[in-house]
Amino acid sequence: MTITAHRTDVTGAPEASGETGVIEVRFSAIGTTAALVVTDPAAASAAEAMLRADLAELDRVCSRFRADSEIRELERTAGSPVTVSPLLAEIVDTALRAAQLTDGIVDPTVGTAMAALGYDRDFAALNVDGPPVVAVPAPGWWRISWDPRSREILLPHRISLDVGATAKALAADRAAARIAAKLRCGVLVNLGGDLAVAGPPPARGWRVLIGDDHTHPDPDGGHGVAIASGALATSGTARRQWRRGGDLMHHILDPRTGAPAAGGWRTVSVAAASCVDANTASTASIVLGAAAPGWLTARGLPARLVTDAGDVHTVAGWPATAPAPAGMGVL
Amino acid sequence: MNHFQRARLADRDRGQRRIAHVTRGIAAGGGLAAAVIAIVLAQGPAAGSTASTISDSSPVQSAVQYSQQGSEQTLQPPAAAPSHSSGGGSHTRSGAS
Repeated sequence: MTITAHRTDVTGAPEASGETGVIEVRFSAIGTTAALVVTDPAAASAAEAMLRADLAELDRVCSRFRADSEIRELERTAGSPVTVSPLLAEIVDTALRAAQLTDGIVDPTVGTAMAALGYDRDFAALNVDGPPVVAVPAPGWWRISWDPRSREILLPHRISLDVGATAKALAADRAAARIAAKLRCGVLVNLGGDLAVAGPPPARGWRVLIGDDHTHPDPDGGHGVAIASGALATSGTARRQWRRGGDLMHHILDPRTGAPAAGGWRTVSVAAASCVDANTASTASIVLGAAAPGWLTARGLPARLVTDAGDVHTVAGWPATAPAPAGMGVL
Repeated sequence: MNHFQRARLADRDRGQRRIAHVTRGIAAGGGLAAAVIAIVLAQGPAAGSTASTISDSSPVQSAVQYSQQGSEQTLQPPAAAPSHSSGGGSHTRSGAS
């Protein structure tokens, strides 16, 4: 799954920030871009090796597009209790917790609904246009029988799991913590725009450029924020789009209907203590629509929400939008 | 929305209500059990043996077992909200993937 790495010094302006040698390594993995930033250049190679190993294991365990993944094997043994690997147990536990804390708005059984809309293979291999499809609601996360103590799961028949979002966020959390602890430096792990940091941050914090697409800066330069700890995730409808019967589809579904969420937000970024929580909240917000600002505020989660028309709203202490400083967006 | 979709949606709503009911029941039962245990521990002469009995108790059984081990049961906000970034380039980007 991985391809060549791209390594960049992203120190920025060391004379102003006091930073020296902040190094970014970027490569493709798990169907998206993995970026690793460390505050110690000498640790970059070891950190990259650790992240690559983590992501290879993640792909083997929970890719819904790999016939040999553990999660696909689980679907083949549906109807019978199965003891899963420790990693898949943590992934299932995380996905069910997200479902519970969002009242099913973020639901791992949405894989069934996703396949009904035509997203049934790696996105790069997906036909961008096709015949009409009929949306079906997700079967429901509560149908999964799960005992975390014994790691035993019973998946009912005809349920396809999609744990991609929470699993990716969990991988960022785990990798950042593990790399920082082992290599004793500041670490930022960014998997497709969902990022976690650990260890001592750079002098002025980890600077993150927020936009609609994690691979390209917004035309206006984007919105720059800094975090010193925790995590930040962005969910949006601007990427992974395809058409069926002329209707535009995207990958964030409302599990209650099985149709692409149409809540009026194009992009939602959330800061939280962990990447899992940030991703859970940003995904839920896209589905919740008009209720999202109140929902986020009630949970004390700083967030930036962008409407389909481009209007920006901020809640719970997220800094109001300001033009990105000169030089931002150049990596 | 056709008949099939309406039926699936109604089925989903019923399940969601059922699990919410079970969750409330477990929470209420847990609270009650904690209160009873606290009283027993406060009054009983052999705290050690009582604690052993508690730790050996079988897990709560329900149609759906989804209680997470050791994970927070609310979404956790950050220690500090993000601040404005004040120049010097960015370390990374966040956006839809």
